[in-house]
Amino acid sequence: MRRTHEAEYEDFVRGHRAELLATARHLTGDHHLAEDLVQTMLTKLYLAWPRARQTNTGGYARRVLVNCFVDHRRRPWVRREQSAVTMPAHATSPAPDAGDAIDPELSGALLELPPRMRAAVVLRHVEDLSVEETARALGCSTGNVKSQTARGLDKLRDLLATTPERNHR
Amino acid sequence: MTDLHDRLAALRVTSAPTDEPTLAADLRRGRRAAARRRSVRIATTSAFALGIGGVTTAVVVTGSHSDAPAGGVRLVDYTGAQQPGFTVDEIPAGYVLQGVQAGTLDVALPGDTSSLDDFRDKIVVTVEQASPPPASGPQWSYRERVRVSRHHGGTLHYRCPNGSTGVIRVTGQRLIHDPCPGSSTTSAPDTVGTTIDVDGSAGTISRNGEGATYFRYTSGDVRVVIQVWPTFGLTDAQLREFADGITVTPDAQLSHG
Repeated sequence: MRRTHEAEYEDFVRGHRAELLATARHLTGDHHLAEDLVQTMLTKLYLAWPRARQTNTGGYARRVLVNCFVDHRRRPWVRREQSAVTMPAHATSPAPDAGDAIDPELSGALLELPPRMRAAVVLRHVEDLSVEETARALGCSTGNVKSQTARGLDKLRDLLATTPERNHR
Repeated sequence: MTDLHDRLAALRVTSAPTDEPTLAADLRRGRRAAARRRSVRIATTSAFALGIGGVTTAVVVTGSHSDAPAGGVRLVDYTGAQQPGFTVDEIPAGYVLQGVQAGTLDVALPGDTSSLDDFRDKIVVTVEQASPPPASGPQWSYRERVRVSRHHGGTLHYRCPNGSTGVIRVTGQRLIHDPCPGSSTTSAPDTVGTTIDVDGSAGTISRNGEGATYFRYTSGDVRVVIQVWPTFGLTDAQLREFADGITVTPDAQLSHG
């Protein structure tokens, strides 16, 4: 990569990595997986920088991130739960997951949404992107974004309405 | 239910700047991935060439790489030693960096022992000052674009577009101009081609009467001129790609052309 391009890439990473990591944590609900996705995304962005720098770089990066997230979910070997014969010798300290300290109930409900619906809700209502920006990041139409977010919000309301009841059991 | 919108908005995390070790690690991963991709491309190209080599004993291959015009050259990643003042990412296949002299980088065939001032059958990258300093004293204008290669006392030897040498002598306030041997001082004007973006700035491709291609663009605070000998057959897209892979480093000298 040309030196000037690399300097631009550095500036971009310096300024946007934290917010992209936060988006990834909202999408995955897992700090470590989010870090993995962001690293993968940034490597792809480095390789595509001559092209990415000529467009809306932030939108390009979010699109790559969402694709990494969806691709990860599609991998057949990805297991959502891991079983072990014995208990771990030492308790692991939980990583700080996005939103846990702020609203763990809502963060948990978000994880119940299907991946693309979750991505639409997170980009549109957590990251406050416009419908058009969200559509570009997801690679779909604005109508699709509107329907996905509307259904996602409905589902979140249902989940949140039942959460206190579940907590009291 | 605006409450849900507010709760979602409250999840937004205020962006914090990335620390330098994390940034360095991201850069390392990117560079490694780029190196891997380069290696794969080279290996694929070599394997492809070997395969074709075996087949062409019986079959004449008439197809060509999509990036290369028929009879033209193909750009490949450059992995050899860099020259002072420049870094080069891509180079026409089979060519090497011949050397650097006074802000001029020559790309030539291996074993080319011609002078660095001789531009025949080469690609020459020249770095010039983007905006010339205000001149003082008498002003000279030239009827044809020349490139000064040496300055000995009051005589300027310059390289003509056709590869021959012309002379300008300055004696007192007189200018004596011996034009390029075999060329007319009223040579055909440059033909301006397309304007192409390079490194965020507009570059212009033009061709002179002899068919040499000139690609001029600004990179930072310097002006870069790439001169391609007519026999090369580089397309405009390839020329842009070649230019995109050139970085003028801070230690580059400015040419006095």
